[in-house]
Amino acid sequence: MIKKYLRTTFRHLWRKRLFTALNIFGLAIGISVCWGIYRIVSYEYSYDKNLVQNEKIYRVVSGFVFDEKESYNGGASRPLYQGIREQMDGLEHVVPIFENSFRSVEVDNPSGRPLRFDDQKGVAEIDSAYFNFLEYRWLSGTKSSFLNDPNSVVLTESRAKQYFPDQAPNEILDRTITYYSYSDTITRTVAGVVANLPQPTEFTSQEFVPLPDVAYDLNIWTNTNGSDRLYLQLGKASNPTIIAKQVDDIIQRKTKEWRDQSENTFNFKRWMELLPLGESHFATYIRESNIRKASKPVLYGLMGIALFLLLLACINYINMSVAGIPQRTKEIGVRKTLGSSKKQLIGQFLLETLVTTVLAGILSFVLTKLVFLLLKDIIPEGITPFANILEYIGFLFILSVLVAILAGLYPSWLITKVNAINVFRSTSLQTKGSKGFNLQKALIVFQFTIALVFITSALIIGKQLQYSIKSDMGFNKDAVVLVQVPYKYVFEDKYDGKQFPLLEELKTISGIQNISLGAAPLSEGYASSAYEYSEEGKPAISRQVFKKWVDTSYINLYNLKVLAGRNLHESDTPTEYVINETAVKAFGFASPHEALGKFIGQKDEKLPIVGVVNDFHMQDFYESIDPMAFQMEKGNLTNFNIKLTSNTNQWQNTLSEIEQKWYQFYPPDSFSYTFYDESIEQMYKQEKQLATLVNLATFIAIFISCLGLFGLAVLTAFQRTKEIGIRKVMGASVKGIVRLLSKEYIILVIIALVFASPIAWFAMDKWLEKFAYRIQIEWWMFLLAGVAAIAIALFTVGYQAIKAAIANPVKSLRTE
Amino acid sequence: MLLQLNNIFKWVNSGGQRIFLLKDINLEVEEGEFISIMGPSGSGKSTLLNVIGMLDAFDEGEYNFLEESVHDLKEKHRANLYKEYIGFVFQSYHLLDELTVQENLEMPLIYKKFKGSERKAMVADMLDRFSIVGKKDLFPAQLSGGQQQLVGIARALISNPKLILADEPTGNLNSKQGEEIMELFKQLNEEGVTIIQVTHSEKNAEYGSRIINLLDGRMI
Repeated sequence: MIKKYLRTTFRHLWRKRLFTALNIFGLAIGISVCWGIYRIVSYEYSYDKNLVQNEKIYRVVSGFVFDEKESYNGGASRPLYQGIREQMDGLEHVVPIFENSFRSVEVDNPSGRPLRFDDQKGVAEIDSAYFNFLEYRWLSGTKSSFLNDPNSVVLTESRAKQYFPDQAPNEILDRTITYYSYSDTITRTVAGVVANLPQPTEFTSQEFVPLPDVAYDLNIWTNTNGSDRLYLQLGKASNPTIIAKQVDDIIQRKTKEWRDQSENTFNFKRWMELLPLGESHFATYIRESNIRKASKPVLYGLMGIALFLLLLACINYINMSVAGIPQRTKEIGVRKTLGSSKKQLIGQFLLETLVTTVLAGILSFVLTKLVFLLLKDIIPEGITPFANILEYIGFLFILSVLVAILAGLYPSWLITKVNAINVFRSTSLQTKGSKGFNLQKALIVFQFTIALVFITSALIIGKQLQYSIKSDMGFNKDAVVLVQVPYKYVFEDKYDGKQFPLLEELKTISGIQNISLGAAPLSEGYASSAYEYSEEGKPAISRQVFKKWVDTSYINLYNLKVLAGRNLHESDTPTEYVINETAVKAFGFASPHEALGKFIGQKDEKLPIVGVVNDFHMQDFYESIDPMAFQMEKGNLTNFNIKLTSNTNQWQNTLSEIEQKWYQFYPPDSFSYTFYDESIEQMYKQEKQLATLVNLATFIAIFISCLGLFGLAVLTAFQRTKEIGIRKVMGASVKGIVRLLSKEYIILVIIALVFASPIAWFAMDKWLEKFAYRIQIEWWMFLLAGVAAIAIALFTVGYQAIKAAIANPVKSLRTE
Repeated sequence: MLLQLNNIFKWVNSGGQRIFLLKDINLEVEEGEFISIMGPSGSGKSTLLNVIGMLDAFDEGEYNFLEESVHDLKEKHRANLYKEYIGFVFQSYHLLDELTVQENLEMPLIYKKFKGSERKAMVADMLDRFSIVGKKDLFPAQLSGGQQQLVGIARALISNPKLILADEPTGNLNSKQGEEIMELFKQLNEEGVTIIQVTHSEKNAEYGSRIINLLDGRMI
């Protein structure tokens, strides 16, 4: 029986192959996007899920208020773990993980030169608690031999492979590794190799060295470093709120102790919080470079996109099925008169839907790979399209049933409403339902609303991105190349001060228009201090001021405008400041000229202001412009700003000349340059990803909607052939008919625009809010989106409309 | 002379064979004639009517309509020609279901670019002439077959065509309704409208002034 049903179903689908193809294609896209996003979301939510009792694990983080700004740091003061161990109960594990990075690492090599690795990260100082807390599989060595030797190191399997290629874990025991940091050099002996933790995890350290249990000075209690992480595993009966309070108390006591002792008045507030491990991966408000974070709003956004795109595909199915019912009435009528029950009719229709979805699922297998390819910038590393094929099949099954019900139920219910007698009696199946507002049209409006929200958002995000990168930042960044002296050489005696003779050398290159040493105007790193200005008889004004160390040609190179006073004079240490307009206002000077000659600075080292420059952006567009002070200090000048001549053809030559000169002073492989405008673009990587994602979603939404629209246009054109014939005989022109057929779709798109505009406006306004400098949302953006949607809709239905309009009316009006 | 067909041939190729739908048709129609085309099913009656109405093309021969050589005209000119001079009446009426009687009558006038006020006057005139003023706001489905055909004829007449082409206008009607429609045609003919009708019925053919018999696409 089921075989028979399947056979008729396949026959039916084959007979309507155009619509079957459109449906399968639309659904396949929806399913592929859903699967891709499901993989991303489930990956992000699977962080450390395999840890036993992971709901009892918390991370201690520090909160601060500086300058009335709240901020969080992912670390905790180093000695805190000792205080907790001494003073608190109810904790299973207290686990400090203090990560370090090293300038370079040398691995001994009995058969030749030692292997050298630069900028090694992920070296963690830990104590015995770590290996009790996380269950590692030891491939060689033992925990005790590691803990007993203060100069030992344990490597993960992957790190061991890097350091000792082609050697078994037990072969590398007792081999030595030398770590070079800026301050000292330590040689360690390999005491063991452990298997890597199952991914994904927050615990990504690759090398473990014993943490000495030393006593810390009181002032260390006030230091917080983001790489000094502290985890707590609570006992079964412990209450996290109470534990958090106790941890905070320890810090507050120590801080008070320190304040009393040092008589420090610097006003800052710090408190400790417990962050559940499950939340840690999503805590984007804590800026950390060594831990990968995922943003929950982004994940929700992704899920929303998946849902909407799938919904769009379902709507296509519903619309095409509903529109196809008039052509099936005869079949349904015959079935009914021959005794088919409602249930059987519904079953037959749902089976059709199910078969279509399953076929779509099979197609989506291919499309998924395409989705992963398109999203490769956004998809975190380590996610593959099909890690577990059973999971995929299960997902497909659930989705198919869901779609079959979602998309198939309404049309199948409509089918049962077909009155058999009417089917046979009616002489002509005339046009029905082209007037008025029915469900089909409502669904199309819904589809286009979604598409339009995407189009508008894509437009606005693109515009803001362009604005952030291209608009006037207060300085001229054209043709500027940045070359940074690598940090490891900055502090090496051998290369100390080498940048200055190099600067002189570079000045001789003809392709360089101007050259300056100093931090680029807009850069990711920054330094700031609280500066004071005190007028006699008035309370001192203290402001957080950005410090920028520059040389004398800097202002000229970046085309900054000196509003008052003069440029800095050459000097080895700071002797004077040039500040920006915001700083003028921040310290309450009436005008730039007013500020000249006034002394600002930290308490005991105030220096005069000698000049004022225009405001320029020092951070990305999320941040407003802060007070800033240029100062000259030779030791801090490590970044070359090189302005090339406007002749772009010459640039490559000039750059290779610079490189040659560079290597007269610095070791091999230390030269790398970036064009400044490109490096500014890099700062908006996340926004670019968002733009990519929204663009892709826009494209898919439009594409799926157009598939639906196309199918519907085919069906309506078919249903209206008779009407079109009559109108033509009555003298309608081809143009008139095309207009008649297209008009209602345009009206639908316009209605959709009315719905979509406020939604898009609201969403984008929220997004833009985060930017201190942002574009205005303007009416023409919505209009443009609308025009684009109408153009796309017209393009889609146009062919069908023209085809219907030029058909010979004699054929459609023939009386059967 | 209204129209003239000289040696008209129309054929389709099917399975390597040429099947003639119309074969060497020669016909002259004067203004004011009332012609009935008769013949068994498949003899080419409707095809001939469609050729005369310029809805269908022919493969060979000449067709002159009011001194214009239809066979040489471009599609657009041909459309303008039939729009202006020819009205069509169909067996199954072909009224638009979603338009009222009034709107159905108005439709051809819109395509002929009459102004709104003119259209209103012409529609009112026609409603009056056919005594269907009371039904102007009804939809076709609310009318009897005879009434629907009445509207169909009114629609064909509304822009004062010289020629009415009717394809079995009484085919879907009972005999009484059919008689009324034929009486109407006769009356219209007497008022000067040229009519060419296709019919199966000898009785209806009698209303005409001339009968053309077709068999397998040939006039006999």
